[in-house]
Amino acid sequence: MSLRSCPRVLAALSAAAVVAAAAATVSLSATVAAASSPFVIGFANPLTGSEATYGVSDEHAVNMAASQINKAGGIDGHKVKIDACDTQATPAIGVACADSFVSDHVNAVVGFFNSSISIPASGILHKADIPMVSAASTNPTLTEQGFKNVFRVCGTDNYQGAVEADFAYKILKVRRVVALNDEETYGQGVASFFGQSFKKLGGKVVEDEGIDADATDFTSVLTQIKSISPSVQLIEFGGFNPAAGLLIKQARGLGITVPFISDDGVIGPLYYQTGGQSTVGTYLSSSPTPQNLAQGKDAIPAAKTFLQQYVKQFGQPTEYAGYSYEAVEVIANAAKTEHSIAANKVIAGLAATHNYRGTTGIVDFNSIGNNITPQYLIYKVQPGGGNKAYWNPNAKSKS
Amino acid sequence: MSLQELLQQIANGLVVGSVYGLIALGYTMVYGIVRLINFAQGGLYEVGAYLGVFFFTLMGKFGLQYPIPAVLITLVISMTLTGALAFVVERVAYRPLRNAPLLAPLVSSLAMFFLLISVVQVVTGAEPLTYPSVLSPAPLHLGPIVLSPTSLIIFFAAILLMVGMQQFVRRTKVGKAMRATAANREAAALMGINTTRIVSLTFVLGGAMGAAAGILYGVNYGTVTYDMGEFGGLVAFTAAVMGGIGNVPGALVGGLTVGVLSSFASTFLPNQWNEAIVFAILILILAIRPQGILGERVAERA
Repeated sequence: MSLRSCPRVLAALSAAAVVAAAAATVSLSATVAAASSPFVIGFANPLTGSEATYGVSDEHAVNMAASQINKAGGIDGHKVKIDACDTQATPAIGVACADSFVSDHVNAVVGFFNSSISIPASGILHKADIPMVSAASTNPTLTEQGFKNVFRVCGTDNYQGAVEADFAYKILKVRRVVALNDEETYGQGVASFFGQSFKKLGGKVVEDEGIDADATDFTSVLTQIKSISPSVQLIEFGGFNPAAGLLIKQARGLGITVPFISDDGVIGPLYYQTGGQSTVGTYLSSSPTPQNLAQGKDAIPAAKTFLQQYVKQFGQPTEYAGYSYEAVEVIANAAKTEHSIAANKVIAGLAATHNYRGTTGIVDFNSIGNNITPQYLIYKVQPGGGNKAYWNPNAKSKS
Repeated sequence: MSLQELLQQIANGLVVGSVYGLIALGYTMVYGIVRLINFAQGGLYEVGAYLGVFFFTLMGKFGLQYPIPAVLITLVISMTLTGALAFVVERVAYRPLRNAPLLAPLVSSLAMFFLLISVVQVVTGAEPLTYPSVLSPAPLHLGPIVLSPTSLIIFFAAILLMVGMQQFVRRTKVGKAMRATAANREAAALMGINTTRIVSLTFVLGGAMGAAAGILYGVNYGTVTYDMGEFGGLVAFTAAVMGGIGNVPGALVGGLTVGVLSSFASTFLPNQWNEAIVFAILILILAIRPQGILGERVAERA
């Protein structure tokens, strides 16, 4: 999970060579039609370093989107060209990418991967009035800065809490819950949105408490929860590992058997390692993988096509590849509907994007540029530690 | 608070407290002999826990699946190695400063503490490591109290080690030499006791107890982190002072007291107040009994 949390975690990479990025620039010049100028999309992701698996997968997806748009005639004759920049998951280098996009006069930007880079970079692109669509940065602040050029197709951390509340209330049908958090920005955010949404639905948050993530013994808090009467029906935890794994293990050790739900910061191998057998059957909210979106009876047709084509060329895509593909498509769609590649027109086109059916479902931007279609699924931990997609809020609301 | 919750909180507190007591034993023994708060103890506890993960995992790879022998072997190896490390700490950080003002060895023990923690972080990285789970997590019901089988074993193992140490100091010849050194180092040396060796031995035993605490902790919670020595070291130091520093049974009493107090504290106030409450009660106890709960009976100090 360390990578899914990368929007929140700064990878401690040494800031060495920005030059490397230039080498990664993908040149489509051979296929560019002589007629009109290209539509250049700056693409900034971690292409080297510990988060490169994600960045490179996203790069494949972005290139795939560009070549498909070009095959279909480009944007009113303008060929799409990707200008890739390696952020190395390091804010200083990522911000330099934004500067280079400004000096290259790109038409739009897809990026950045890490929220810690997206937020400062969005300021630079805002000044230059360049449209920006992020495919992976989930920190709420990104779209709360009042920048009208900034959009994101992925979800936001706080929305995650709301999806958990929906699931608890409507699917598990519980009414009395406890919400715990690790007192850090992310965990507190998820837990408090969970609590607010759960109350709005008509449920009761019996206790809402922060636990000290440094202390590994949570038995006294859990004992207290256990003795609440009438009994609590679900425990929610906003935070990270190892706290989540320890919490569920100690809860089960005390004989607390109620459902347990946690978040994107928790999903991953460490959860099962710390919590062991106790984690089996617990629920985790997390954004969907391209594979999840193409599976089952709620499968999205565009996601199926995307996955097939991607697998044929590059193998299995990582989590945000579908979003990266979609980000390029949404930008191209905006330019097409406005019949212009001028920055202000593209921004206007993006702002007017509603009910766009893409690879990850429906894209519907609200006034601040967030995709209002919930981008989270509920997973259930399986014996052996795997996670299985268990509930899709979108599938339910549509039917 | 219902009676059931009360009993459960006491049980929770005793389990955590027994581990604190074991670490506190290291502080208290060293203090008894050389009047030094050996802050490196928190680091030794952490190193012991990490050595434990290493050997425990290794044994799993060689097919030793039976939990109890695996834990015992791990305990013996890691306690020995950590004891050796404590010996080195004494040689490097304390012995050259034996005749220096008291603050000097105190600061150098703090330096050793940070050094040990940093080394663990550099070697293993900042990601937490996990102990292989040995016992089923199915809870045991003991009347109104529910406990995991592991925590029950941890509790008795810790008590056993502490009582064993107490008997060692009280009944063996070496223990007698330790008590003599604690009472009066010059006089003990004049009686033919090799006090230098006794001081070394005390550090070694204290370190070994710290390692045992680290492993028991790891087995119980299943996870060790590179900064566990900070929290554990600080709480155990509190426990040693609360029980009466320099007093061997005091470490046990202090550990259990701190464990139960913090368990209750989080019942009445949000979890974050835990340490504040424990320290407030420490101050209260020290105001009434400056020598700690069991005080320091000079004759038995070791």
